[in-house]
Amino acid sequence: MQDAALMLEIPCEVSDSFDRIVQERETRVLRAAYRILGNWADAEDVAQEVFLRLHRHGLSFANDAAFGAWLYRVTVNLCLDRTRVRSARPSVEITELPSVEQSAEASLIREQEKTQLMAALATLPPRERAAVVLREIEGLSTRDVAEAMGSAEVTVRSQVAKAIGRLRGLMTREAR
Amino acid sequence: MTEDKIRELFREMRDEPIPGASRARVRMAVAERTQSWRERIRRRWKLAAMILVPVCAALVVLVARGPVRTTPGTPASGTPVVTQPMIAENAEPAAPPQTPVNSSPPVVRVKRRIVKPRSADTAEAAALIRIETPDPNIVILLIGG
Repeated sequence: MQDAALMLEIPCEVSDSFDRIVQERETRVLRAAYRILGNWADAEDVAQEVFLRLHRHGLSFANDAAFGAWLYRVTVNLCLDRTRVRSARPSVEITELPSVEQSAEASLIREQEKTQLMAALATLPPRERAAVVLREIEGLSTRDVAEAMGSAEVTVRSQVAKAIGRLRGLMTREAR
Repeated sequence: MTEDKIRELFREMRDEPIPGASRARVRMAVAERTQSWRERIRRRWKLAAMILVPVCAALVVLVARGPVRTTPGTPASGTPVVTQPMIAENAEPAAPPQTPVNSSPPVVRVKRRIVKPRSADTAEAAALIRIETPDPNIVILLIGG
């Protein structure tokens, strides 16, 4: 069953559908929030707020894509609000996510690169960071990113290109 | 580092699992807060029901009893209630109705006369004229004053 169809049941006493949606979507919401904010504590707070809003409003969506776009939009907005309040660059946790099994040395190098990339990502302006996270990490189309961020597709394309260019510069400097 | 390498690293990040502790914390917090929200809604419904049920019952009883007969209320100042119709001293009696409207008994109007006590001086000053008629049983008394 599609999540959009499940949403119609939320206002009722039956909460199974809501719990299922939380289970299915929490990974994406948490991951996006973590990549934008740079730490798990804030990402958890944002994810909670996203699902509470979903529960409170009991919104119904035309289709799964609309539901997904709504989730990402709320997530991005909450993350941007949070970065605005803190007004500082997000602090990147050194502890990285456990990666796929590789040879010990290659795995170590890979992890190091990812940590560097996360640190570089944290230096980007919040909106550019959010655009890169949604486009490159979450794998959304430019159109979906534009919808989630309330921007034009051209703006998103430009933000992502600019951000990747900056990241490349930062990573090259780090490698030297 | 090339752009392709950066994109590849990002793609790998997408596949990385989320820490179970974070997921569990989010799930627990959401469940706790949505349950309390549910409880709040339930409590409001109970309160509303407690108010609405007696009101509805009272309305049903009132509607079932039909129109209510009203009785005149007692005045708050404690003055005695006049149940008889008061008629002014010099009021003229109302003309009798030409056609009886209903079969209720006619109201008997009592004409009250208030006799004011005269002072002694006034009584003495009053002139008395006595006229005797041929009939010894009839005497006309004219009292002037």
